[in-house]
Amino acid sequence: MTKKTVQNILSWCVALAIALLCANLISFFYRSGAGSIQRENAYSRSIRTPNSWIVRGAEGYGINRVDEKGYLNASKLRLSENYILLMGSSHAEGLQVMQRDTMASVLNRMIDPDARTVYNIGTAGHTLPLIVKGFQAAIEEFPNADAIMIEISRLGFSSEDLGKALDQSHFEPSSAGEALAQSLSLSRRIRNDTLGVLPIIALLRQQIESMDVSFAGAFGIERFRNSLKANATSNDNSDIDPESLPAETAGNDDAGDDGTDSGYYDALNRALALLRVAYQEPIIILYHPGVLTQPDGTISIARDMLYYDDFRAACKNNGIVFVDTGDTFLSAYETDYAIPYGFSNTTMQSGHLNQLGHRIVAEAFYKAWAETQDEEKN
Amino acid sequence: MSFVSLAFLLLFIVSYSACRLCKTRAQKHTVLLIASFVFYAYWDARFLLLLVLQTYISYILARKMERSATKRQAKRFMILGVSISLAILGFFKYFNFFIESFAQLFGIQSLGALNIILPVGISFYTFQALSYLIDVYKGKLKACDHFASISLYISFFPQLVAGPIVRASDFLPQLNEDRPMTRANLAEGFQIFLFGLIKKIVIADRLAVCVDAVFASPLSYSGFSILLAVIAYSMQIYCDFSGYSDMAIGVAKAFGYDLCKNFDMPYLSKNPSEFWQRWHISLSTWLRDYLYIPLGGNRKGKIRTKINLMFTMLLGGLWHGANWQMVFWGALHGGALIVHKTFREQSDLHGKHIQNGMLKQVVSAISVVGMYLFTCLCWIFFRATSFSDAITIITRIASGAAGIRYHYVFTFVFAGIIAIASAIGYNRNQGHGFYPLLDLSRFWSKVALIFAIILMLMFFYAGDTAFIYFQF
Repeated sequence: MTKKTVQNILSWCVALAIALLCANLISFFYRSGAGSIQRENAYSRSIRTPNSWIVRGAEGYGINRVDEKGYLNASKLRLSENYILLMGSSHAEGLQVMQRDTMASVLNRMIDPDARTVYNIGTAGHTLPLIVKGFQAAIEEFPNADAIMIEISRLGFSSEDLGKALDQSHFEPSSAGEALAQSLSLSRRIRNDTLGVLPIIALLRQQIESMDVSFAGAFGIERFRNSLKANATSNDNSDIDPESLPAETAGNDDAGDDGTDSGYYDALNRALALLRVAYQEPIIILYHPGVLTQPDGTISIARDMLYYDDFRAACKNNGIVFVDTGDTFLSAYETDYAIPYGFSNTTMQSGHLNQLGHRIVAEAFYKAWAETQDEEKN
Repeated sequence: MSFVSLAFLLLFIVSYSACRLCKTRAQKHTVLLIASFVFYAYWDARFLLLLVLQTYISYILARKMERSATKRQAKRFMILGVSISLAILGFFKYFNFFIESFAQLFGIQSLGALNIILPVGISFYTFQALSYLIDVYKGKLKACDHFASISLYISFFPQLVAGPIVRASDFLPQLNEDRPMTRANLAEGFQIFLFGLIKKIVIADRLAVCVDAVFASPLSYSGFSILLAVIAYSMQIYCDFSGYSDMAIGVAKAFGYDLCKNFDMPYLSKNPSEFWQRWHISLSTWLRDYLYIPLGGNRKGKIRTKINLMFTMLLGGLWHGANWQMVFWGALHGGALIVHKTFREQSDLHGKHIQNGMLKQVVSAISVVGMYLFTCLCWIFFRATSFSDAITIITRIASGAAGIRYHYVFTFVFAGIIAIASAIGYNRNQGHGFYPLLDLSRFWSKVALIFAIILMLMFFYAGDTAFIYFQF
């Protein structure tokens, strides 16, 4: 290899390093903050790296502080002796909005601006079965919770998942925040620290993973097969006289499978009963259904109607307050064309709760909580 | 096969390496032809037969034309070739449109539509085949002796499915030359390809998110949000289509071939005539040379000139898509060309031209803005899912209707970037676009190139990446 070639290779390497550093600087403002630490024997399956910052700019824009326990809570105020525990999914976690706009922050300000009364343990991916599964661990880790608020965005769960959730996790102090972070192996800590200072790695990995690198559909073979299949199916069907079929199969809607799980109510009821037994203070479950814009300019609320009545009944049966923000979403649209989901850097109506969505949810939580307080007083 | 796929990357690496190993021109052409067939068949192998058939018909008829004893006989072969090509295009692209239009015109309930899959790129390669036949007939070009040459001209994979529409007279001579595949060509081609790729996957695909949402439900959004979506669409279609052309030019350059420029900062046009000299240049010049001029062009009087203009633009609209919206889009542009031509004629007639330099600049700036707004208005008909949606969009923008406020951030970001890039192009290259090629022997050029690649990887949109012009 000549000296010139070596110099050329070196100059490309240095150029790569400089370009990466510049891009890394941009990543700090677009997507940064270490990812999650997996764990067992605790409420959630993972926490964020304790005492760090998270910046996310791909959907909405949020700069959020992770506290010493690995949850997104910013307030510098000391946590009140008695507080409300907020559970939920990525919506409750609130990475897509600035920390001051998350439902937890809004609630905090509404309840007592001078104290920290709502503690957010919202975790991405935590749907109701996972929340139920970690419930015992949560109340063991946070024994002074005066009330529990649970945010959910869907109601349909398999009875199998709900059944598995009955197998409760128990809290181990070694699984909590800083203790967990310190227990990580050296190589893991180095990896996390590297990802912390080089956020571009995580960003590029995420982007590259999202690329479609499949060869599906190559040479139209799949399309050809599908069309053959479709033809075969239509030929088979055309041979059958619908009138000759028995009522169950001849387009009888009543007999059709509606997709519901017959054991849903029982499984849900058992899961919610478990929450009630484990925790006697107010539990509020808030359901925020999706919204759909219609071609005529109106919006509709996409409630999970297959499960809605069963869910409501199971909550009532177990003394759990059920709140549905669907109507509030509708009225927000009717008064000001405001949409609770979506962002100006993605699309409206889809994705996570936006600033308005968080506010509406926080207000609905607050109203329900205030009513439980009134009831207790009376 | 799309340029934005792993399959293309593999095809490029294999075919490029194979071409570098080739010792003769014929070997290189064979490799490129195989690569082109794989590129096209990757989408649907069945339609490769159609492409080969069309190429073969052009090949045979052009040879027959050349060997014809009389001009009349040659004309017959030319008409036969053009008719077969147009018939194939007409069947695959326009059959259902004509059937439906016929049914609507005569109030017939339904004549039934055929389930026809539009072969990708058919409009592009048909036009290339037509230009070959016509050029041979006119004696501008000698008919190819080898099927491989004409086949490579029509099927050359960089420009096969979405242009530029290369002229046989521009490309075939290149096949008869030794076109070196140098490292400089590769570096230049790569940079041009990258430029197009960024336009496509970072800008166009990202803007499509907003455009698709708003055009799917225009009644839901506020007038201002819709206006922003229309502006976003103007940038999306430009970056999507010109991005594809850049990628095609870049890939061809790497193999040592030059394709024609297809876009030249069209939104800086001051009038409709200039717009069509800057937008999809290969199509507009094709229409001019093979339709407008044979119709008589401007040689048969003022009225006939305007009729020719309108007819050309109507067919240009229909070329883009088999529906009446596209025809109307063509009519709007045709109308604008007529108005502009009339205005020019009148100002020439009365000798009224702006002399004051300052005033001239102000009028130019106003003209650019006005032409851009008119183009956006036309894009509404081009993009809307129906005529009634297009009218709704215009009405809501004009009335400032209330609705969801969706001020898509990337519309502003990319508008800023495009405006700055256009200003640079305008100042540095007398109002014409250029590729920002870097001298990679310089250190900071290397940094800039790698930085651009990393930024592209950071910000590309990973959703649907289909090219808009594939449907044409």
